[in-house]
Amino acid sequence: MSAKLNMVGYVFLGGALGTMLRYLIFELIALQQSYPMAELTAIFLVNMLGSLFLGITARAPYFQSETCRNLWGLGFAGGFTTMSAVTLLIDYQGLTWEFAVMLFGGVFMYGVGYRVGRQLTKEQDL
Amino acid sequence: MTLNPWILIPLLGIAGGLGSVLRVYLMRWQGALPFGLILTNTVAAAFVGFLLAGSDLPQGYLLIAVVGLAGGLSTFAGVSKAAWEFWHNGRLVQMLLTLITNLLIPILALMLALWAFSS
Repeated sequence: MSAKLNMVGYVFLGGALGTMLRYLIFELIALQQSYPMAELTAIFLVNMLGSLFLGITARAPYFQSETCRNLWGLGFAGGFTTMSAVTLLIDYQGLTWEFAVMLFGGVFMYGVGYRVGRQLTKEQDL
Repeated sequence: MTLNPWILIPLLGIAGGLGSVLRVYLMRWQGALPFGLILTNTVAAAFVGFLLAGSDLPQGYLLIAVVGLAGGLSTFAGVSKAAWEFWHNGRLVQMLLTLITNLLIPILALMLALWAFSS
């Protein structure tokens, strides 16, 4: 019971941090650009960074504990990235090539993060 | 109604945290495709559609529900992870299906909700 509550607590905390940071990034980009370019730029940025970060958490030594996985992987990376904003923007401006780039770019960034994490593990083992 | 940023941002965080916890429970549904992941993104999109079309929430609370709760519930990084794992294991068809279903089904849910709840 206690372990389950701990898991929920860390996911909640990570999700809260990720959501707040995502909102701040959206607001910062909205100061520089106008809608819908600002929205597209912000969504692209948070989704690429979040995918990269989740890839790092999959293998990097620091993130291998249950606590760190729940806090940074499930909570933070999940809350930081967003699919609902992607669907809303597609509904507004249609399904354009930028969204295909974003989808495959996310997979690529996760792979880059995974390799970085694996490299960090190797360096620690040496 | 607009909320003071010092109140809005923590409330967004709380909503995002709640969405994240719900996501973790929904994502447990696994199969040939990550059905739980598709479900979370679909529920989040439908919720956004309902809020935008069918609710009379003031601006500040709408932001908390859309950006916080729906944003925390849906995930892009989870889709990237699931697709990459399929690709890594040589399952190209499942990778493509993961990407396509996680994009198209939520869009369909959003459009249906916007249509169903608009007065």
